[in-house]
Amino acid sequence: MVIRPLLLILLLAAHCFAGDIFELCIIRKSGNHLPHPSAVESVLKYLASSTSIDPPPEAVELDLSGEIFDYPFLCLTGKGSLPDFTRKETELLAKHLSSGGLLFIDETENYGLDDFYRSVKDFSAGIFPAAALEKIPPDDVIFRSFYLQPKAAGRNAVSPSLYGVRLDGRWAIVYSRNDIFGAWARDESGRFIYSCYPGGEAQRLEAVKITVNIVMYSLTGTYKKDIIHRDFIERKLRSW
Amino acid sequence: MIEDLVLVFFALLVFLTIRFRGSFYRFAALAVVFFLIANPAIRKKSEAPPPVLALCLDTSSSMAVKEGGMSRIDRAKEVIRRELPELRKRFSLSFYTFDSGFRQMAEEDFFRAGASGGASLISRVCAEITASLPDGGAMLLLSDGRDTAPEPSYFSKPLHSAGFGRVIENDMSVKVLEYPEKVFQGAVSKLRLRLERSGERSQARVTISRAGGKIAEKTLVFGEGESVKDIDMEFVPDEPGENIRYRVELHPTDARPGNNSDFFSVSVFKSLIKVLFISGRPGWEYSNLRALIKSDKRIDLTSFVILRNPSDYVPFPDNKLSLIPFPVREIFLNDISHYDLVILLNFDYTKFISPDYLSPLLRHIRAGGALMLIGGENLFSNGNYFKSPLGESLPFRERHGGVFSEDKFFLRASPGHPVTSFISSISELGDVPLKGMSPAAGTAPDAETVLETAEGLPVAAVCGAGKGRIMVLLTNSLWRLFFAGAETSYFYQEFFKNSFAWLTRSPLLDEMSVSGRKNYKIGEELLLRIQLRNAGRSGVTVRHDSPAGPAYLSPVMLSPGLFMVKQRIAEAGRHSLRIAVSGERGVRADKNFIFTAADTGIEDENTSASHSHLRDISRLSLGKYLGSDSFRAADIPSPDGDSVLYRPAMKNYYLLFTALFLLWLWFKENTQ
Repeated sequence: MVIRPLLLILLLAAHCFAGDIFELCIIRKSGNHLPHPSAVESVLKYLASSTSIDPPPEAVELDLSGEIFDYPFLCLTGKGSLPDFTRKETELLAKHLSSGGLLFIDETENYGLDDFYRSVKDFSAGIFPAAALEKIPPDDVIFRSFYLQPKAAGRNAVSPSLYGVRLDGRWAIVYSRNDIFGAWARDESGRFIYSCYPGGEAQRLEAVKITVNIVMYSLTGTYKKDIIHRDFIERKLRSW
Repeated sequence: MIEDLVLVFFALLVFLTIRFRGSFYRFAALAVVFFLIANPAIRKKSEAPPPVLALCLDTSSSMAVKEGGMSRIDRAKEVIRRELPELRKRFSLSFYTFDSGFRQMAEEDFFRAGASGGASLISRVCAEITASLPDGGAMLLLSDGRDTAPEPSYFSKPLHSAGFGRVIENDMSVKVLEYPEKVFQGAVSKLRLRLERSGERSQARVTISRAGGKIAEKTLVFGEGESVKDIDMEFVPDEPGENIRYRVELHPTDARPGNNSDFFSVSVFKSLIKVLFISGRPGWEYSNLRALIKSDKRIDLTSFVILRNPSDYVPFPDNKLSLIPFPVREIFLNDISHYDLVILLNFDYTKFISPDYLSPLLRHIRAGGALMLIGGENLFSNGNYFKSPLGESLPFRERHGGVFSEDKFFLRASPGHPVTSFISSISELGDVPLKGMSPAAGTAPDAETVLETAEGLPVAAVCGAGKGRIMVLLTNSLWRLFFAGAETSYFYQEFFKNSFAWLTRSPLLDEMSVSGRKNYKIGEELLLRIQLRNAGRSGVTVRHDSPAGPAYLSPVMLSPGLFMVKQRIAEAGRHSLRIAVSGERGVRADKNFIFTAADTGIEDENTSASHSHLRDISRLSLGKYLGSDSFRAADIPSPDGDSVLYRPAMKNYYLLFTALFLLWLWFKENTQ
């Protein structure tokens, strides 16, 4: 029993990058765990070119196992509703997120229903019964971790808000209903696959911003709430 | 006594059985019983030598106090000179003087003795003198009753006493018994005081103050009959600094203002340490370490993360970004000395500043600051820090041409360093693979390795730099420990907390803290409290090097990890205590505690006589308190006075005769 997790850790160590560099980890749960494969590449490229995060160019895809403990940032995408998680998988996720990890859930299609939202609500309640899924307030630090006050936009505009589960004062789960990855998806010639509705390209830019902010938030936490930033940020906001 | 009563009872029984009413027998039986009960005595001429009386004169310094133009000791000698002829008639006299010890001497020396001794250990000395006297001997104590160390004693011969000196009314004194060695600014700290009083005054106000003013106050009330009171008093140190002197005062002052105050010195540490944390880029090490630091209320964190490199392109106007300019000039040239600890994580300073900017940081460290360098691909790239002013002070040496290694390694912690001594035994530590190591050629000669790989390569090392300390951690992958499991997460948190404490010389990491006074007077009791950080399987030894020579003291364990050392101080001068804490691997920590004992006795502070103490001693020894200095030799009872009296009713032959007589009576009455 003890040897098995250790073996997993050893296996993992062979894959993961050295040091503390950001790596995007997609959880492989259902057959359609990555509806927009090109989007991930776009995100990572953008992070590398416009921030100091400099992630490796490819994301890691993992089943829910002990290996996730080498990847503090987990990503779960899907449509319709979330797949069922076993008790062991739920416990693993709970441990990971309690240890400081972050799970980003992107709803890629809602078909005009709230099934996915309800399944996320049930899923988060299963992981953290004491914490509820709630709207992330617009003045939260996640909306200023790199870009100032981006909208919670994506390919769609299902909800103007991000949702999250708060744990020890930080967001352990961040959930978007607007298909953020869809806004990033490109075809082989580099053009965006989907148009953003209803806001068009302006909405896509907001999706870019909020993506960076979510990743930056996972790496810096409440950094932008520090006193030293407050005046600068307030001054900039006033200049708009 | 029991035998006598049994005999009397038996006689009465016999008497009651006499049926014959003849007055002669009845009278005879009554006479025998009466004689037994009355037990008359006949004074008998004895050829034995007169009993010994030891004249014991207190020569402690309080006997030099002059009252009415004459010192107490001179007054005692005068009384003895006056009564000497009468005493000689009744006793065989021997002469003693005493203070912290006793001396037998000739009569001339007795009358020449001066009051120059420091302490007067009355109880102890009297017990020793009475034990040395022959049977039938007694002692006459001539003292003011100021016992430096009153203690329960057994007096084997009667001790008569005469008191000299005036009892001062309404005097109160204060003395600091215990205080902490190190405290935190703003944290409630405790000290123990002893207050003594004589006379009627029962209420006082105690204040603690330092140069800036009063910081604590307490009112206390003595109960009826209470003369000594030990109290705990709390104070909150306001300013940090080494050996800050605090004054304890009694209000209002009284007959002896000299004993109305005392002082103590403690080192006050900042309760809030200021940490500057600069990270070369966002990363998991930063994220975890920041969360850990932010959870510690004792740390005031200023943090900068380089979120965008100069080469990065952001397709949005600047006012849409939350980024602020990195105030590198202000930080490194102006503000660096405000921080108790500077953490540079994977920060390649060469992208932002010239090496000269690190000179103020080095000066700050040498003046008592602290630096933690944490590795990554940017730390030591191209040997950057080694070529900076910090280079010579780092605990690692440069590996020329070295690059960031991505090899996997396992970690081992040093059991010998305070940072890791309590967490090195976490076995799970060696199961978590880590990756990423900045290049270094090895540790500097004066450096100490704190973390190393399973193969023995140093991963983290520390060294001193002037008054400050530096730690270099070659890897930025320790965050994996935080995620790997509860035990390794604990290691991660404790490692960094301990590192911060060690770097900033916080007392939190002291293996032991010792609290006690550093100035005593002869005769006072040394009180030393030893608190260990880790109570498990620890032994404490205390070696006392006094002017009289070395000796080992026995610490008493009050609770796990808390020990108390008590020792009566008998020699003036510099005393040194070497306290060693030993664990499974031998001596884990040691510390020197130095204190001085002044040449004067504690009684110099309050010279009021204490005749009640003499009265108590005489009563306990079955002797007589003769009152003040106007006593007469005739007042002294003869030692063992009963021995010159002859009591025929208690002699064996009389008892035998009585038994036979009563037996005959009974036989006569019951056989006729």
